[in-house]
This record gives sequence, C-alpha cells and structure tokens, in this order.
Amino acid sequence: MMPSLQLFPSLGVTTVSFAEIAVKNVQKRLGSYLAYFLSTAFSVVVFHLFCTMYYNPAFAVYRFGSGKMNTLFQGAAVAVLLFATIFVLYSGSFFLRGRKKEIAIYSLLGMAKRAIALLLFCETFVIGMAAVVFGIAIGSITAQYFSSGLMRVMAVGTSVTYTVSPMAAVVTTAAFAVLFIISGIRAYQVIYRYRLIDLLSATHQSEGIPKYSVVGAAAAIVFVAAGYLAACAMNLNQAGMKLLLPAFLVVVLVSLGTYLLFRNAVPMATARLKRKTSFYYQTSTFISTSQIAFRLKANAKMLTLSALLCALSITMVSASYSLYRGLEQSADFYAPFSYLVKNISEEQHTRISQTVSDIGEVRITAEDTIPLIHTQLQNDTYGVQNGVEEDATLGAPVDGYILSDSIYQKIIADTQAAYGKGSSLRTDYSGKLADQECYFLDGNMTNRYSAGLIGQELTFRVGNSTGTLQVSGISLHKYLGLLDLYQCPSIVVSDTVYQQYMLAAGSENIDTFYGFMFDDEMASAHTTAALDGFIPARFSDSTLPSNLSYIGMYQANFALYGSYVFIGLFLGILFLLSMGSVIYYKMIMEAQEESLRYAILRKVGMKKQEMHACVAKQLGVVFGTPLAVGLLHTIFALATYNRMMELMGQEMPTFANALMVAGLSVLIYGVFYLISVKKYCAIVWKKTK
Amino acid sequence: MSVLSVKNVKKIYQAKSAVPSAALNGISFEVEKGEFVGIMGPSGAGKSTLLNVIATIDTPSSGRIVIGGQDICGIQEPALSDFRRNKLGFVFQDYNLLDTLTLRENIALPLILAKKKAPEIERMVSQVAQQLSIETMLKKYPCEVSGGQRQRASAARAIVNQPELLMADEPTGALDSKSARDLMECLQHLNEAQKATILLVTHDAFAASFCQRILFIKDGRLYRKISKEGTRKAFYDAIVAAFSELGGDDRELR
Repeated sequence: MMPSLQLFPSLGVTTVSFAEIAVKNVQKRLGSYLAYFLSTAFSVVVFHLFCTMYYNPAFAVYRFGSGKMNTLFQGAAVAVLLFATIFVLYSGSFFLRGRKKEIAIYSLLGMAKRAIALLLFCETFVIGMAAVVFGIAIGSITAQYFSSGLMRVMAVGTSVTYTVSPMAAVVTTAAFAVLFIISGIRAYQVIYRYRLIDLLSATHQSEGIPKYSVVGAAAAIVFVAAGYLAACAMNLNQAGMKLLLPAFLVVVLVSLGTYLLFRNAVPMATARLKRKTSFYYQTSTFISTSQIAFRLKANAKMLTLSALLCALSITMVSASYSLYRGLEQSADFYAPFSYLVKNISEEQHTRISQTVSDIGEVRITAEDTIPLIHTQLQNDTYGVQNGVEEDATLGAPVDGYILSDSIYQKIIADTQAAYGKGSSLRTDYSGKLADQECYFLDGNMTNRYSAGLIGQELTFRVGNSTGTLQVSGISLHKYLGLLDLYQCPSIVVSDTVYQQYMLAAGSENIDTFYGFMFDDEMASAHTTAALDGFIPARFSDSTLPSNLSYIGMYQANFALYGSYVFIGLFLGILFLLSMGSVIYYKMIMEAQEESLRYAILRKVGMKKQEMHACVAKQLGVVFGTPLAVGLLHTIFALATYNRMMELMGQEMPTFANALMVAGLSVLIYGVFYLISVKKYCAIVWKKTK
Repeated sequence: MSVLSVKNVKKIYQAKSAVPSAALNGISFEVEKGEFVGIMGPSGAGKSTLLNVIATIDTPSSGRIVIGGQDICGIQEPALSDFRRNKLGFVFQDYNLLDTLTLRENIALPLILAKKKAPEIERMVSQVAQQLSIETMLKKYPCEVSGGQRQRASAARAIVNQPELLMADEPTGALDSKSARDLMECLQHLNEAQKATILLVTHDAFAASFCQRILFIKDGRLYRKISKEGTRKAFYDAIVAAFSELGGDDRELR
C-alpha cells in the first residue's frame, strides 16, 4: 500500500507537533485504520464483558474466596487477559507490518527514527484509546442484552442481577493502556532494529517453512501428555492454593505443549507433506499447503490461542450446561413428588386439595398416602456412611422404615421412577415378594455396603418384636427424595407382613407421608407457596424450601448453583464467539495480502473454482487444527471436571451433555468458517478481476 | 502458419462524462510460428492494452484475435482459464512469482494446475530449469535470488507447459544490463532451439534488438515495422532511429 503523499507537506513544517501529525494521520486515512480500530475495539468489548461479570457484586464471593468455583473464576480471568494481550499485540504488529513502507519513506525523507517511533506510538495510542471508549460503550450495551438473553434461557429462580460497575470500565481502560504501551514499545523496537532496506521490502520477505526441531515436537507431546496425566491424577478434594497450584501447573503444561505443537510438530508435518510430491502436487493441496507453511511461524501463537480458547469455551459451556441439566435432575433426586408432607392432620389434608383446586394453577394427578413403620435393621455387613469418604460402622442397628409392596409399587408408578440399578433415581423392583422376603432400599449413596446383601438374612425390630427376612433385591432408590431417606434404609415387604407389623407398631411408631403429583410441576410455584403457608415447615435451613416440593427444590438449587451456570455459560459463549472472530479477523486481514498472490495464480491460469477450493482448504486447516486440538483438551478437562463434581458427576451424564454442546460449538464454529471462506473469496475476487 | 492473428482490434475506454478515448484504434498484425516479435511504442501508445487483450486478461471492444486457430473473443470462463493455462505463457516485469513458493514450485505451478503427474512435473521442471540455467537454485525462495534469476524463473514458468505463444511484458524493466542480456539470450535461445513463438513488449531498444522484427505502435495504431537484417548492433541502431522518428522521447529509450 502506498502512503498518501498529501501528508508530506505538513511534515516539512517543523513546528507541527508529532501528536498533531499522528492525529492527522488517523483522520486522513480512517479507512485503512478501521481494521485495526475494529479488531482492538472487539477485544475491548470481550474484556469489558468479562469485567462486568467479574466485578458484578452478585459474584463478589467468587473473586476472593477459595472454593473450587473461585479457582475456575480466577482461571477465566487469566484466560481473558491472555486473550486480550495476544489479540492486541497481534493486530498491532499486523498493523505495523502493513505500514513498513510508509515508515521507510518517512525515514528516507530524513525524519529521525526517534520521531517516527514517537509518531507511531502516538498514533497507536490515539486509535487504541478511541477503541477503548468505543469498546466499553458497546460492551456495556451488549452486557445487558447478553445477560437478559441468558437469563431467559435459565430457569426460574436464578437471581443474577445485571449491574454496570464503574470498576469494570476503569480496569478495562487501565489494562488496555498497559497493552498499548507494550504494543508501542514493540513498534519502537521494529523501527530501531530494522535497516531501511528491510522496511522497504518488508512485504516481499518470505518466511519460508520455519525452522522446527524434532526435540521441540517431542517436547510438545511430552508436555501435553504430562498435563493430561496431571489433570487425571490431581487430587480434587482440595480448595484454595492446594487446588489452584496443580491446576495452574496443568494449564501451563498444556498451553506450553500446545504452543510447541503448533511451533514444531505442525511445520514438521507440513515439511513431510511437501516431500510427498504425488500428494503435494495437487492444485488445491499445493497452494493451501504452501500458503499455510509460509505463515506458520506467525501463526503458531494465534493457533495456540485458538486451540486453548476452543478448549476453554467448550469445556465451560459443556460443564455449565451439564450442571444446568443436573440441577433439574437433582430436583427429581430431592423431590420425586411435586409436593410431599409428613404427619399432617386430616383437616390439613383436605385443605391441600381444596387450595390446589382454588388456585387452579395445576391439577393433582396422583396422591399417595404412605404410612411407614419405624424399624431398626441389622446385618453384620451393613452400615450407613456419614458422607462418601468415611467408612460405615458395620453391624450396628440402623434406623429405617418398612413399607408395603403395594405402596411402593404405587410410588414407582406415580413418580415415574425409571427402571434400573445403582442410582438414587432408579429401581429394579418387580414386586412378587414372598412373606419371608424383603426388597432392600439402601440409605447410602453408593451400593458399597448393600451389594452383598442379596440372599442374606436381615434382622429387623419393630417395637418389641423382631424378625428375620431374606433380601431378594436391592436398590439405591430414594423414593421420598434424598432428605427423608438419608442414612435411612427401608425394606419393602409383602402386604400381609406389613399389615401384621403395622398393628404391632402402634401409631407412635408410624410416619405418614402424603405425596402429591401435579400435572405441571414447573408451574406450581404459587400453589406451593400457598400450601407452605399453612403446612408446618419441616426444614428451617435457608437453602431449602420449608416443605419438600419439586419446584421449591428446583428454585433452591438454582439459587445455589445458578450463578455458576450463568458465569460458565456467559464466559463459554463469550470465548467461543471471541475465538471465531479472532480467526475471522485474522483471515480477513491476511486475505488483503493473499489476494496479490491469488492475482498471480489467476494470471497463470487458475480457475475460479480451483481458487475457491484452495481458500476452503487453507482456511479449513487454520480453523480445523485448533478445533481438533481444542476438542482433545476438552475431553481431559471434562473428565477432570466430572471427577471434581464427584457425586453430582455420577448422577449426571456430563459427557452426553458435553457431546451435545461440543456438537453445537462445532456448528457455530463451522458458521464462522463458512463466513470467513465467503468473505475471503470475495476479497480475493475483487483484487483479481 | 500464424500463431497469433490480430484483426482490426479496437479498445475504447468510456470514462464517465468524458469523450471516449481509444487505446487501440483498429490494429492488425500477424505473428507466425517460431517468430520472435517485439512491440515498441511511446508511453500511452496502447502497448499494455494490446498485450492485455491478447492475454485474455482484457476484452477488445471490437475486432478479432485468433490464437492457434481459436478465436479468443468468444471464450467464456472457465474455458478461458484453461485456454490461458494451456496456450499462453507470460513473463511480467515484476516477475509475479509467488513468494510463498520455492522457484521449483513456482515453475511447477502451471503443470500442477494442469493436473500433471508428479514424476512428469519433476522432469519438465528440471528440463526448463536447465535451459534457463537456474537448476542450482530451484530450492530457493524468490526473495533469496537476484532479480535476473527471478525473471528467468518466471520465464521458465511461462514456457514449462510449452505454450503456443510466450508473451513478455517489459521483462528486462527491473533488471541491470548484465541480467537483461542474460535473460534476452535465454529467450533468443528458446526461440531458436525450441522454436518458441515469443511476443515481447518493451521500451528497451537493447532488449528489442534480440527480436527478429519490431512492430512500432502509436496512438493505438500500427505505425511501422522493421525486420532484422544483418547484425544485432545494426538492428539496434535501426530501432533507435525508428523510435526517435516515432516521436518517442529519447529518454524513454534505455
């Protein structure tokens, strides 16, 4: 690009200050500065969006605390900072590269190096700061839509409020001011380091295939593998620095490994490919491979950034989404019934039905009366665990309940419990109990102590009488929800046996639960609130509803974990969009340079469709490799996340959800790819025709 | 047999709110197979336009251009790309080599586009590289070799698929006199040994003196033709004389 000549008369006047020239430069050639301005503004928007989240008072606890979520939150802050740094430095150096010739002409005309450097520095700073103001404005507006959009997707009960914090704007401005100073110093270096001739022929310089080392490629694989291993091996039941340090180590290992991979392994593969002439000498492969090879050195950082962003965003969105799905499931887990009450009077019972129909929000589709007989159960191999880590005391009598075959069958039918084993939400009960048999419902979270009970004798005691039953089947099913059955096993017995002990127990040894199913439990918020108004509260914990209801648990869960989901989705989507845009911008900027090469190819007789194939292939590699590497990272990150979530991870199919999210991300990413190819081709056409 | 036949070709540029100006104003000439023809003329005579319409990069407003028996004015894309690829070879003043490719790869480019097999590509590239004596620098990138070597690589690329017509647009324009001589001797050798048909557009009387005949054009018309008789030195003097007579500024001649 030739510099505009009308600038030079003004340079002749010695009284003109450099700041003035810089401002004039920007003013006069706004068009060519626009790309730089927009890309900088974009990174400001991303950074500012993150800052509004980071400094949102609602999330203040995560910033300074030391829990697992805080570690994730702080990690995300580092990632965003890294993203902004690399992006600003990249667009800065690209901007400078396009202007080397102009700098050389200033120099030829006798402008001192110091003056040129100052000029460029002022210019970069002026555009940069304009971009910051613009970016913060756009960021503030977007943040509102972004938050309200996400909020709409999220469930009822999420209480995240959007607030514009002046801190976010201050931090953004400060961070970018520092970045522009670094960028400016780099510009200084360029001007001082290069000789005039280098500047004049800057755009013609070939990079060739960058030098790579086999050692570097091997190190890349070792680092990534070590990172993966460390992630799989690290102890996640820690908090604070004990969790943060290994996590940091994993991130450093994987990031470094990824960079070395793109810096060494990819050039190595390209060089190999070039040697295989039968493959290499095919039109589109030939052009795209050589173009990619040509830019590999400059691309390594960018590809690394994309791969890491890709891994980060897919992991975050997947993890958040599976947590989100998990919260729904965990409502089932806590409240299989739409509404569950214990030991109420007959009058209260009637009033429940009355209230539900008066409000008319939902209809009662099923009602279970569940009288449970208090019992003590004993077996030498059984005990209840206090938490998953501690061992149970074996052989001690455990408080539990007795229920009848017909009641249990009705509960299964009404709550639509799934058929299956080894889950608190499933049962494989099939009825047909003989009088000396029982079906054992474990009060533990895992079947570690109950698995061996099948076929064994179980002693039970009701009041003063004792008896023995043979265990015919076991399940972890929490038919009343986790809270009432925590550390409290139950046995299902035949109706005859049940009647017999019912009489023996006496009313003081019986807990009667009443379970109601509504036709639309998600819409039962008002009804439940009204019912809680006259039913005595069973729980006084602030994180729990006063009586067990599906909607109550659902809202309580979201109040607790909703902000995690929100932050995760917010950042994940932000990163995904950033990554797509980064590559898009990069490609569009490069297309301007590449179009000259395509013009030559066109003169040599390349067809339009062949050019299209070349562009598609070239961009395919640029988009595809970081995606592939990123997805590989994602697998390990999610496996670690799943372990970190421990119990929740077991109950929730993180991977199934992750697969869906990953699929969706790849789709969005694919759209970015298609748009880039289209735009790239359009730029190339314009220059060639 | 004529390789190139240009008949009454006009190219009129219609700028907005201006009188139409004719860059080519009914020019006609023929180039026979195996000929080495130079085209000269002062700036603005229409040399570049003429070359562009022959090269199928631009289309004439009227008239007929036939290359190798085929009327090129009627061909549409993508057949046009094929035609350009198979029948024409170009050498440009600014080389137009891809800086992302080594010289070998640059020369191989037309063959790759023509989907030739790898061993054949290797063989043909080595052959032309030898003819233009650049076989030792095939592994280098364009930025690593001199201008003359670059231009020879560009010429090698132009002839590697044995085109009907080789067109050279100011090939010596960016070269020093030694490199210019080397390049012109290469082209002359190609013309004599391989019977390559070459159309050279130039300002440079020295470069032109390697041709067999020169067409002078002025104001979009054919103005004069001279043919080589006797030594190259004598031809050079004749060209300089003719060029001055044409009204070309002496300073334009180098």
